[in-house]
Amino acid sequence: MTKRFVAKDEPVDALGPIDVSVHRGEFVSLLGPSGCGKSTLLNIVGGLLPCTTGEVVLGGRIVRDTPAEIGMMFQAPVLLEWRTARSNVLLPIEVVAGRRAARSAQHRADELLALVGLQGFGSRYPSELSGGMQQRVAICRMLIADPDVLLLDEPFGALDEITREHMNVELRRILEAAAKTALFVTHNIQEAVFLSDRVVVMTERPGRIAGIVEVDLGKPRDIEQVTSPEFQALVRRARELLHLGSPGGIGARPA
Amino acid sequence: MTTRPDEPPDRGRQGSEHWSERRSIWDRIPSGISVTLLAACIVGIWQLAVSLDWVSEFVLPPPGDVARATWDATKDLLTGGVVWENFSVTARETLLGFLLAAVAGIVFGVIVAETAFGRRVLLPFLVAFYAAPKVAFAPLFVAWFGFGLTPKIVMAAVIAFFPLFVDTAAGLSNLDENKDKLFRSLRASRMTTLFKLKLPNALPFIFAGLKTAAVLSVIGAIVAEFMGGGQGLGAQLRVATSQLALDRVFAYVIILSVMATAFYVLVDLLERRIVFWRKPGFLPVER
Repeated sequence: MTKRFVAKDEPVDALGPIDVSVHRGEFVSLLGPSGCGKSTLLNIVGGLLPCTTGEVVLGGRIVRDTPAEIGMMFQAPVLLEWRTARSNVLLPIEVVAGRRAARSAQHRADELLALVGLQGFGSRYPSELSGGMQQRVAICRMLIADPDVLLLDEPFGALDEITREHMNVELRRILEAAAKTALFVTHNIQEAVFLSDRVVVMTERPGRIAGIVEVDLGKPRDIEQVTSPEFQALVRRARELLHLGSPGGIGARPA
Repeated sequence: MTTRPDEPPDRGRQGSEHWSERRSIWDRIPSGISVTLLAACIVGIWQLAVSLDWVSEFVLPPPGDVARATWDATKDLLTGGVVWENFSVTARETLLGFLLAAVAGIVFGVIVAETAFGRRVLLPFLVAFYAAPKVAFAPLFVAWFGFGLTPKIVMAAVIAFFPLFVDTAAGLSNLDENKDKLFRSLRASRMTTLFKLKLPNALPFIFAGLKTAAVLSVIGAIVAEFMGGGQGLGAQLRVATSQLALDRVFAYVIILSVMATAFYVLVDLLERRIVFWRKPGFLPVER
């Protein structure tokens, strides 16, 4: 399976022309400076924005609206405050198949909550959960309908460094088990390298591909690898590409 | 992650000390005491104004007379006398008017916020109607709906309708972009988005409108009774005024204020139950 996408926005060229392909089961990161259009690209793939030119191809067919087989995650948890954690997780099922289907999937929701370390928190409301816990509920909500393709728009960008690292490890563990295809937007180099099979480095606006870093760190990954020379070499490579793409050096400060 | 148990309480204590230095004197006196004191001051000045003949007793009855009249009216109210009969009429008009306004306000709020027809065609009419002096319609309502409860219910509903309508429409439009994105990514239909996202999301606004509507529906019923006659405390108010029984006028006004306040508090309590995820403000949302 390939996803193919070409877009040119006018009058302000926000993005491209750019062409990204993601293979089934692959985890690809879009890494680039702020405002390079990586979130725009993700929103177009998710059918939330139209593209000016070009198309999104999913499994051989052109898609315009949001395809049924995707699950999305945003920069904020975006939980509904009047629903419990469990009920938030079940929202995609309730929206698509109704309340009865959601009720019969309750067990699955509790399993997912346990998977992200939130067992026993199903009946809590979002206001009773920390930011990291809320984002974990959002992970469960993304996974409940078992989508083939995951679109993640800087999901941990608002979290502190410690929580973010923790969430990355968990996300990697969950996705390795589930063999999902994922497109992940970030401006954090380490995060991109740690999570991905491939990192697509983008230039400043209008975003194009500055280069692609193949991450051959093997599976499963654990956080210890972050300090290994191989990991550091990949991070250096990605940073060089960012500098090439952004002469001003924005977003490419050494970590 | 490690937490240092000594740090947060320490910072908390410093914070509260810092805060207490800045607290106003009115924060430190229990509000029950300060409010009573202010009320006593007002009553004192009132008594003085009457005793020293600054104003005539025909225009402003002394506080003692008002207290006695209020006491009598309350006794009558609680023992099922004439005041009770009139009160129950006004209460019924208020409640029915409020319910009518609640349904209409929310329905029209949804239509205006959600449809192009509502926004482009209906809204100008509603705004024009909003601007019209609705009190002037009271005699007309009597001509249309007779002397019974109906014209008063309609007037209560008409006056209570607008804030609720405006708040509902505003609440539906006040949607977080991310939540909208989430529902679109879930491929939710318009109706699903309305019922599962927009309406619950608008509830704090709708309740602000309901609280205003609760108070305004009392005023609407009273105005209609005042102008249209028949039964009810508003009609009694007019009779008492024409007889220059000002102590009774004050007594009825006090009873009606208590009734409106109680209605407001009731809706407020309902809001705390239903919109549990938000701390409701003391006053309705400012418009």
